[in-house]
Amino acid sequence: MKKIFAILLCLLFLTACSSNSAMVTEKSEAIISGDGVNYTKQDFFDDMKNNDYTSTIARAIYEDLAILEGYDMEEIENDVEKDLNDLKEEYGDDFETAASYYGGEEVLKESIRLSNLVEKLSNQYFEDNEESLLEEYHPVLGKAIYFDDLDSANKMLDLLNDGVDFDKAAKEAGYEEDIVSEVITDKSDLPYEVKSYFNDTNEVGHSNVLASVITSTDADGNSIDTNRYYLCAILDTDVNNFKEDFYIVLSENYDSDTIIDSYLSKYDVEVYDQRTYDLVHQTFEAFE
Amino acid sequence: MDIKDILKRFWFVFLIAAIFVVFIGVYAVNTIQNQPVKITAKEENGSYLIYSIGDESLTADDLYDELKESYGVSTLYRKFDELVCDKAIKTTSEMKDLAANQAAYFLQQYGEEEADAQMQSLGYGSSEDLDEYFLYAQKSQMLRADYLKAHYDEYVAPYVEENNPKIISHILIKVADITEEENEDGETVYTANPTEEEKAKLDEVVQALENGEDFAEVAKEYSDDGSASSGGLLGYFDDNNSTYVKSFKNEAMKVNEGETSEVFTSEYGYHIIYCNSQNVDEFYDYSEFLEAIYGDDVILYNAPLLEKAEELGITINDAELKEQLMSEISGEEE
Repeated sequence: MKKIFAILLCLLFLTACSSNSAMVTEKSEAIISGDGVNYTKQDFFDDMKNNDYTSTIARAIYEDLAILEGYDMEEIENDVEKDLNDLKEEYGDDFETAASYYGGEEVLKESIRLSNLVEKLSNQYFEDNEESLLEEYHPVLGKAIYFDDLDSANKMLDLLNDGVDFDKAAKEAGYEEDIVSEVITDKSDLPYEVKSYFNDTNEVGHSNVLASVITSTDADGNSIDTNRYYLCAILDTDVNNFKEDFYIVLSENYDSDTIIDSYLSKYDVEVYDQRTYDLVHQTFEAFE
Repeated sequence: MDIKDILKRFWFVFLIAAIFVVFIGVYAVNTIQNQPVKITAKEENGSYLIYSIGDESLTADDLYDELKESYGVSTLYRKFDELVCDKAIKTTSEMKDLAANQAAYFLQQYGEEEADAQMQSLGYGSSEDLDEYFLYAQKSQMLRADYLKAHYDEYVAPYVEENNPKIISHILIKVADITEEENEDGETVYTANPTEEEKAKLDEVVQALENGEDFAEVAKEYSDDGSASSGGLLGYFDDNNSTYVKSFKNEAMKVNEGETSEVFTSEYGYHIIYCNSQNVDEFYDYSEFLEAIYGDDVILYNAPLLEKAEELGITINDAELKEQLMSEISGEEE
């Protein structure tokens, strides 16, 4: 008898070891029953996972990472309330309708909270990796505009060389668009010649005329070359003076999943449920 | 003591060792063959873990509560409907075949990735559940149809009286050159300027129908519409239909069972419509008919489900979820 019991125990142990699904307590409790139907709590749990499960897990992960990073959760909640109130003020009487597009005020609030958490985690990641990111991006605060004709560009350059302010010189040379200062990096959507200027020049000032040929395709698939004549200005090279804007540029270039992934690796994430692994590991590579 | 005696005396030790060896062997083979990653469950303080990060972790019970709050009612509703339909309507081999065909067609049309996404949006796991979904869809339709049959005077008769439903077929002879102008009432009138070939084709169709040839056969032979292969059958049609152009709808509403319409012109060419049936019993097979009657009335749509569940004694045992669900689908607080 003892021997049989030992074998059964051994088999039970091996079965438990090979189990790959996380079970809820009271898993056999019937949620729906009658006429031979026995739909258990575990069945219900597994079926509920079919609803946007990746987002649910991601949400839980962000929360855990925020705790692990030692964020002040009360401050986070206050920020959420503040953002929500700002939206209420902005939309006025239309707020309820606007919120309903998100699935109601509570869902909107949750969405703001997650977005804030991701932003906070991202900024933390950028700060921790600032040295390599500066090396990779070479950010400067600057302006870049172009003319379609060389004469106008030369006219503006003459004005700049005479000491006229960049915006004023542009207007006088016939430039009609608004001119904004922005964080320009090696990843900015600008021609090679322009990016080289920003990258190679490490001091405040303006460029010469930078000629660039832009190649595009017309409706018939023919290649068309267009000449553009750029004039650029570097306003600031010290990232500490425009760090917030630089982080915004970084977050536009970075997939937040990659950032979260680095946190998951940092804290050594372990997953114990096969379904969760199957659904989530494609989003977060460290999730295994 | 020889080996035989040792084996005889300690046979259970060898058996347990053998089980371990097999287990380790299988594990090793799986690893070597680079099988998909197998995850092993972990229990901590009486709860199974979903994951752990640093000192934080998510337990199955916490996740259950979170999922229940967000998706509990919708998941429960779908499952309740599915289980009641499954018990109420017996699965036949024809239904299974139809579901398999629908699933295969759906997969072919949308591809696996899109099918996965569609199924997940319906609360299913993946495209592997397509057969199950289409079988359920048939049963759900049958359950709702049976309810309407049983409540004919209350719901079906008034709708039929008001909307003149019918099953129709149609032949299209495409005409490339169509001119359009507005009449005195501001309606668009189409005039066909057919080529000789297009006119000859129309004449052949009219002659064949006048000779008493079967409409479906003529449609198969001559129609330029996508419905030609199924004998021109368009299916269910009623006065609420907004899919077809106005001239088509006007003519379709005029024909009675067994009648063929006059030839009329639309922006696509010449049309002839045939009314296959005005027999209400045939309408129940068409989801459009059921949708037309149930409309957006959630309470009416779920009345067959609740009635059948009560009859079969199928109940929801989670009081909180039941209360939430019932307030949505029965209009009554439990």
